[in-house]
Amino acid sequence: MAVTCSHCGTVNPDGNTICKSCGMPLGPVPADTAATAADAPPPDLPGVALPVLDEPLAVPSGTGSTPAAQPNQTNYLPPGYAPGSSPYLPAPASGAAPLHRTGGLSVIAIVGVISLVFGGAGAVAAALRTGSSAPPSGVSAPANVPSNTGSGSSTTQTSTNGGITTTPFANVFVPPGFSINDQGSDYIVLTPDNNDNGAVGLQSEPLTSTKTNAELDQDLLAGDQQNGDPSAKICTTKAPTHAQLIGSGGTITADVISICENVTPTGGPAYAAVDGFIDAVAKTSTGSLEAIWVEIFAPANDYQSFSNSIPSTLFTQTIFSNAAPTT
Amino acid sequence: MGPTEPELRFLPTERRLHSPTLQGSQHMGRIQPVTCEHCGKQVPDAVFCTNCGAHQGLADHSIAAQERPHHFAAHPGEHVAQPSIFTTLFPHLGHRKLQEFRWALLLGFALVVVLTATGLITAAVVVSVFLVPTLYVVYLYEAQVYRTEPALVLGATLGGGIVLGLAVTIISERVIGGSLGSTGEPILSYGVILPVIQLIVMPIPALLLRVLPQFGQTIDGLVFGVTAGIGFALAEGVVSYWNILTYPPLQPVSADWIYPITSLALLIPLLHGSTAGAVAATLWRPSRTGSGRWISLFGVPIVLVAVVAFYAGGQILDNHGVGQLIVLFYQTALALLVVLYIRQLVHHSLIEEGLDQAYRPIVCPHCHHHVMAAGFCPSCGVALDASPRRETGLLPAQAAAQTAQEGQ
Repeated sequence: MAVTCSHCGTVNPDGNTICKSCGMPLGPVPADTAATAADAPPPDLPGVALPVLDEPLAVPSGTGSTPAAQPNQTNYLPPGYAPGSSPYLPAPASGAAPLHRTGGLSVIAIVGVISLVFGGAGAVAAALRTGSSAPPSGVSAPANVPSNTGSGSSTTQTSTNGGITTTPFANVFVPPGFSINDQGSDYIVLTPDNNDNGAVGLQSEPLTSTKTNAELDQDLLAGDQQNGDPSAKICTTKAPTHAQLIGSGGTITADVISICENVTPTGGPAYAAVDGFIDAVAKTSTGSLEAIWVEIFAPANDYQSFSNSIPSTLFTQTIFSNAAPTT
Repeated sequence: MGPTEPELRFLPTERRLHSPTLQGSQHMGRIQPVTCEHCGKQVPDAVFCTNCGAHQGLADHSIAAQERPHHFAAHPGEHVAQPSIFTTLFPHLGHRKLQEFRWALLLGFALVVVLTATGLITAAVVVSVFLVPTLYVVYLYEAQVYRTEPALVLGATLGGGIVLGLAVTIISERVIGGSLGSTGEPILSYGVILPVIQLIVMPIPALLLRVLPQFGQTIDGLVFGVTAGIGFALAEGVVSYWNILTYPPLQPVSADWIYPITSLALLIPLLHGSTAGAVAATLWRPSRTGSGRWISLFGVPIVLVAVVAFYAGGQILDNHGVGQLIVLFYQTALALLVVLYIRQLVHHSLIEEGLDQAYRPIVCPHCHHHVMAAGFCPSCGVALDASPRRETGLLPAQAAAQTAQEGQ
C-alpha cells in the first residue's frame, strides 16, 4: 500500500521508510519531533528540507552496505557518538534548556518599552521647558555678535520689561532683560542688561538676484570674512540646520549656521568668537527678494550659555514686515 | 553508472535536497560517514563538513566549496558579499531571533519618526540616542558573548566607549568649534582630523579585552568593538544634542529634522559600530594565517577611507547644495562598505578558527536542529563560534551520548 508523506504529500511505494521526495521519515511523526521540525524550517536555504530524526536510521539486513573505513575516528568523535550514524540527534527533551535567553517577542517588548520610557521622558522634559528661555529654533549653537553693526543712530533704549519695538523692517520683540543697543532702518542690535559680552542683531536687506538660503549662508560667511576675520569659518554642520522666522506673510524656513572667527577689538587682545545666523530668503509683496536674519554673537566660551539665555519670545513675537515664504 | 561510493556520496544532484537521508535509498538506510575532501577528516555525512565548514555538496577540490562564499559563516543563508547589517554586526543571533531584532529596530525607528512628525523633537532625540545601544545590550544578553563576565565586558566596552565619546566630543567641540586658531579648514577639522581621532580612540576599550584568553576569537573582537563604537555614538549624540535636550527647539519643522534624526538614530551608530568593530576585529588576531591574514591588512585603510569620505565627502556635498536625502544615501553606502569588509573578515576568520573543535551535541541556534557538531553545524553550516556562548537547548552530554548509543 502506498504511503503518503505527511511532510510534502508525495506518494511513496509501499515499504519505503523515507520519503523519496523530501527525505523525511514516513509514518506517524512523534509529537516532539514534529514540533522541532516545525520549529526548524531551514531558514535560509530555499527548497531544503532537513529531517529531524527520532533515531538513527536502521540498517536493513542483507544490504551488504557497510560503513566505509573510519580512520582516526576514535580520536575524533566523542565517546558515545557512533561513527557512521547521522549527525542528527533526537529532539531535545521538553525539559531541556531553552534555545534562546530572551523569550519570544521579548526583544521587541524590551526595546519598545525602553523607547517609550525615553520618549515619554523627553516629551515631559520638553513640556517642562516650554515657556522658559530657549535657544533659537532647533539649533545647536548659533550666535552672532553684531561686530560690524554699521552706522546707526546709537539710540539706547532699555526695555527690561519686554515689549514690541516697531522698525521699518520688523516689529521686534525686545525680551525682558535686553536693551536696544543700536538701531537703523534695516537693523537693530539688542544687548543684555547684565553686561554680557553677547549681542543679538536682527536685520533685513534687499537682494538683487535670486538666492537660496544656502547661498545666503555663504554671503554671510563672506561678510564676516571681509569685515572681520578673513579666516572665519563655518563652525560645524553637525546639528540640524533649519529653523523658522516669522514674516508678515507666514513662517519662513531659515538656515542656521555658526561661524567661528577671531575678533580683534580696538586696543584689546584678539579672542575667539562665534557668530550665529538664523537666516532666510524671503519674498516681499512686490515679488522681490530680501534677506532676513537674526544674528547671535558671543565669545566662543560664552556662546552656548548666551544663546541659551535668549528668550524664545524674541523669535515667536518678532515679525519681519513685508516678508513671506518664497514658495 | 556503478554505485561506487565516492561518486554516490558527492554528486551534487544527490545533495540537492541537502538531506543525509536522501542517500538512505541508495545505501538502503545506512548513513555513511564520509571523508571531507577539504580537511581530510572523517565526518558525519551531511550538507556541511562539521569540522571545516566546507559545503559537501559541491564538486571536489572546489575552492568555493571550502570558502563557501554563498554561505556566510555566521548566517549561511546569505552570501558573504550581501550587505546585511544585522547578520554582520549581530552575528550570534539565529534566524528567528534575527527577525525579532529587526522588528524591534524597525518599530523603535517608527516611533522616532512619529515623534519627529508630531513635533516632539526632544523625545525623538532621546529615543534616537538610546535606540541602537538598547538593542545591542539586549543582543549581548542574548548572545552572552561576554561569557561569565558581563560587568567586565560591558564596563570595558560600552562604558569605555561612552566615557571616551564624552571626552572626545566635548574636547573637540571646544577645540574645533570654539577656537579656530589651530584647526584650519572646517572640512579638514571636522571631516578628517576628528574622524581619524575617533577611529583611533573608539576601539581602545575593546582592545583592552584582547589580553584575556577566553576572548580569543576574532568575532569576539568584532562584537566588543561594535559595542564600544555604539557607546561612543551614544555619548556623541548626547553631547551634540545637549542643547536640544535641555532647550526644546522652537517651532520645529519636522521635515527638516527627519534627516538629522535618522542619522542620529541609525547612521552614526552604524558607522561608529562598524568602524570600531572592523578595527578591533582586524587587530584581534594579528598572527592569523591563511586568507584572513590578507584581509586583515586591508582593514584599517578601508575603514580610514570610509570615515573620511563619510564626513568630509558629506560636508562637501552639503556645501554644494546636494539634497540631504542624497547625502544620507551616500553616507549609508560608505557605512555598508565597512559592513561588507567586516563580513569578509569575519567569514574567513570563522572558517579558519572553527577547525578541529571538539564534538558536542547542540541544538543549532540557526536551523534549530539537534545535531552532533564540531566547529560547524552539519545541517545548515553556521559556524558555531557565531552562536550564543552558552549551552542553549542542549541535552546533558551524558544523556546525549547514551541516546546515540541506543540508536545503534
